[in-house]
Amino acid sequence: MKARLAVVLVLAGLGACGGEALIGARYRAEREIWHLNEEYRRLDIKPQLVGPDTWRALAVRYEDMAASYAIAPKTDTADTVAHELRTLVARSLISAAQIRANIGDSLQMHANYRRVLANFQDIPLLVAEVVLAQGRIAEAAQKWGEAASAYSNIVEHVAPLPGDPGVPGAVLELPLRVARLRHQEIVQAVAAGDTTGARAAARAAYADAEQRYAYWISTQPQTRLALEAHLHLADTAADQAHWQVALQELRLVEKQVAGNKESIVDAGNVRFSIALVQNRFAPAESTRATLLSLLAEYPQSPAAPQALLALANQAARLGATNDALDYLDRLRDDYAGADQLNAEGLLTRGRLLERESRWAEALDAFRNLPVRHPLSEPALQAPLEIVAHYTRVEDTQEANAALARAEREYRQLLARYPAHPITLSTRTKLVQTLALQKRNDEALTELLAISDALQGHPQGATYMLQAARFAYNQMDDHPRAAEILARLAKSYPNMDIGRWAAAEATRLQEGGSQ
Amino acid sequence: MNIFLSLGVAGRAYRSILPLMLRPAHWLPFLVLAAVQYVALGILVAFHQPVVAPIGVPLIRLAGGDKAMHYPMLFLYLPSMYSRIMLVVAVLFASVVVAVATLRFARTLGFAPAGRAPTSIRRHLPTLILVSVPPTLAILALSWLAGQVPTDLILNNPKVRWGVRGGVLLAVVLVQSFVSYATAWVVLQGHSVVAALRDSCRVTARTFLPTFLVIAIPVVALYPISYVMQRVDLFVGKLRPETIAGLLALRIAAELLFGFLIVGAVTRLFLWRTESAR
Repeated sequence: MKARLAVVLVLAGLGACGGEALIGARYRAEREIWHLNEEYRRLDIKPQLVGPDTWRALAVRYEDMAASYAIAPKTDTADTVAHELRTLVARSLISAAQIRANIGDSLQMHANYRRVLANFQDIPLLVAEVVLAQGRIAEAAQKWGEAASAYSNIVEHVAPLPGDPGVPGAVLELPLRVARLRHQEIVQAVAAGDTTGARAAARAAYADAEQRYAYWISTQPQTRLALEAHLHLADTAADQAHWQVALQELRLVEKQVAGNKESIVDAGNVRFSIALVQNRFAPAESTRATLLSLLAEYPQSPAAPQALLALANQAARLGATNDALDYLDRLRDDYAGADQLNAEGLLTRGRLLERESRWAEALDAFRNLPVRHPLSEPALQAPLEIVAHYTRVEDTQEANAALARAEREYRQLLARYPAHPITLSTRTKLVQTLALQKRNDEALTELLAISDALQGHPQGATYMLQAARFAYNQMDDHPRAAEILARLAKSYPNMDIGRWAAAEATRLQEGGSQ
Repeated sequence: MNIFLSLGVAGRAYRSILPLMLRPAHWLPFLVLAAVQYVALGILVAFHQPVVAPIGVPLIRLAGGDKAMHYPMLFLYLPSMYSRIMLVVAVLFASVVVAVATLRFARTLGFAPAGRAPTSIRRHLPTLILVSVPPTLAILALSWLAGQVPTDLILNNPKVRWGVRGGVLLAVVLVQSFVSYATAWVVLQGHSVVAALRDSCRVTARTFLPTFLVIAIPVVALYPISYVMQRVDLFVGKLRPETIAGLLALRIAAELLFGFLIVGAVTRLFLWRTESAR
């Protein structure tokens, strides 16, 4: 009897130990992934300062973590500890894949995503996350059909939940995205010579999107989901040039959110969308009236300064220069805090004045841009606008002086802000300036320096490709272009662009030897 | 007794204990208690290790629930789990350790009760354990009362926040002051539970300020660590969560020193008061 009791107790103890071992493993996995995520966040503060080797090492640590804690799926669905542990492992693989994608290692990225798809079908949300990522990758590679299929798959399996940071938060926009991707396929079909199938697929996708949004509105009326579904329904209608339907949906949304300070949708923004739709089909006067009503009814809305800029652009298009300048004055005086819009406004003012042959005032606007809004795209564009003016009036001496001045300003900006979000744009403008001065060697060197600074990132590959094209087209230096393409192939062997560059480099080299 | 005289009495009580700090034998009970505290902390922090898990997992589940078995949640719950376990340790183990230490201090300070120390402690064991229950319950009740203040009020009103903190601290010092002589009454005079608590309150009432100061000074000195323990969310959010375990380990070390001083000084005050009464 005592012996039996002892056996039972030992077995019970062993059973308990099994569960406890899994709880311990889950805790250790959580700890490891928490510290890895902290490291990821730390490196991601200034990713441009982090070399690909550091990123690769982090990806390897995520992959090692996934390998260390991998367990087979349990048939017992109540085993939450095992499920949580598997979720951690899958999440670790997804993080590794994301890092691999950022450093351009598409082979390892696809391998990690495939592992999640193959082994973690019992965690549908993570599978959906992978499918979403694969859809985005396909979209970036302009594989519209593949991307549309991936997104459709998600819409079929995941319920939308606006505001959710994960996949459910992204589901709402996917039906419209699928329709737009199907529409993109028509362009590819044109090249193939038969657009009938693609057009039918696009029509079906738009009809499906409309049905889904209508369904979500009918099943959850008066919710955030319904509100956002109405907005997407408006976009779906606008895409198909069903302007009245789009306006009807937008007016419905505006009616719901106007006066509701708790609403996540700003009524002014909705009114601005109405103006944008009207701009597509209605007389200019009605668009203008809507924009003016926006300013009168929602002066505090973030869309109000946008409305002023839109009114200025519309007046400029219609040749009402003084009206346009008045709107830009209001934008500057009433919405001084809207820095980006004011920068665009000042650029518009300069262009407008230049067009009206008021060059002294235009020059003043262009010169003021880098002073008032130093770290903005319009401020970077301003020196090139001055060059363009002198080129247009064929004043070579002033054009050259403006180019020299532009180059100096870009170099000063780069010296002051060597690692700033605007640095890349500044360097690109510098390349443009050097090319306009026919200093092609220096322009090419700068382009290659940019690609070297982005070594390992897909953008680096794009710049290297741009350098090869520059050598080929502007400098007519085919061996140099081939050499750059070979370098591109060597630097990005796992990316499609790398493989393409290898073939192109061989083709150019063979062409040269023949 | 005025404040300066009381400070002088408390100071003399501490000063009479300082030479005893050089005698390793007097440290032994406190070192054993600290070892038990470190083991408890170690089990909580390393509950996930295969060797510890059979004890650690049920212990965490009991003290903090299933949510405390996740990282970094473990460290958010660690101070409260540790405090709960320490309440049990205080009743079942620290009461005995303090009794052993009191006996040693009393003998060194000239009071020599008859019989061998282990026999004396063993004889009074149930009384020692029971005598430590009321203060433990009183501290639990104080925590419960502090928890009744609406969270919004505590978060939004600094006066209420610091008022509650100060009030709880003062109440804890008062409770400990009034029961501080109970162990000495049991182990040195053989009192029953009720008599020990009653006479402890009497001695404290007659020696209120010196007793209050002897207890309050170490408690206030430990307050910064206790305060930091209330902001564990900052450690988890901004620093390494493991820092919380490090702080608890530091608190155990500080409690080792202050425990020695408090028990020694209280024994000294007790002997002074009982001798003068005689």
